[in-house]
Amino acid sequence: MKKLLSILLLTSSQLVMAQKFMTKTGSIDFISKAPIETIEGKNKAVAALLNIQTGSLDFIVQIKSFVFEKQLMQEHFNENYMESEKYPKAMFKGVIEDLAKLNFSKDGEYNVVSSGKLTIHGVTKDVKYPGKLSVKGGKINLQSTFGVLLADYKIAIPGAVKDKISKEIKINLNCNLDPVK
Amino acid sequence: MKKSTKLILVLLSIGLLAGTLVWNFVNKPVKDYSKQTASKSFTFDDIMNKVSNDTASLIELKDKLVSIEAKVKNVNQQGESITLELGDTTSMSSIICQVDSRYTSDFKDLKPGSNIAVQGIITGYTIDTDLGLGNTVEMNFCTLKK
Repeated sequence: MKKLLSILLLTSSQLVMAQKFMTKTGSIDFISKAPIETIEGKNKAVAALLNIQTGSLDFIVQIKSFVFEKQLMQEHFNENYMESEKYPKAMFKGVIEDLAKLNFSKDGEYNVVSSGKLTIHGVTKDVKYPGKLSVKGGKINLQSTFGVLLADYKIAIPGAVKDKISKEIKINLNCNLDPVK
Repeated sequence: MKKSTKLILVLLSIGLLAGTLVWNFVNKPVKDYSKQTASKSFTFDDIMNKVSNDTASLIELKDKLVSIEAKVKNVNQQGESITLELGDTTSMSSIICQVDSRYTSDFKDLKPGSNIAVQGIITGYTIDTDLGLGNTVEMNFCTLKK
């Protein structure tokens, strides 16, 4: 009886331990392809949290943590477009849909859809994005590529540089999530 | 030499010089902070205490070059990029340092658990209220403190 209780306790504690998966070093890149110039920003300090019991998914991105190749791009991105002093973070708060179809207890790859609220530049919008979720060796990888229209988030592009910046920005997300112990 | 030819040559030279200056200004690479001296030095605990108890002084450090002494929690390498997570393994709170891509070779042999002194620009912080991620401070353009 004691042995059975021990096994039950051990099993249940492992389940609780593996309920949440997180990272603080996820990657988000964006590319703006316009006739005159391609602009690429990279941020490898994305915080992400996935609860596999509820499907809740959260991302937090510090805008100033984006790194560019050129100094002028870095300054314009923060000061002119994203106004990162005023709006320091971008956030996503949502869920992975059809969670019941996913088996987190064994290795596998799934096409998933995540829906929720995306906040950029102080503007919050309901969004739904496709992605790929992979379970491997007790860890989870999340990848997604999606487009964001700058106008939707009230990010204004001055006329002088309108040929240098695309109206829609392509965003690549890649996060390796570890179980929260 | 004709006067008009001289004028054209002078104008061309001025145009070329102006073009070069503009080109260099527009295409100047991001700043290299590795040779600058950090304005202030902290331990991991100093910074985390500021996040918990004194955010006003932490806000003053935003966009400043600071040096941090801390234990390496994780070394995350993706392609040529390296991101360090500094802190204690017993706590969720940490400092995230994106290593300057020009100096990643300095960090390639770094192992979790080792002590390190890095310098970089503080880009922001997150106080964890309900997610359970712990408090986080982020830094960019991190290099080894020399």
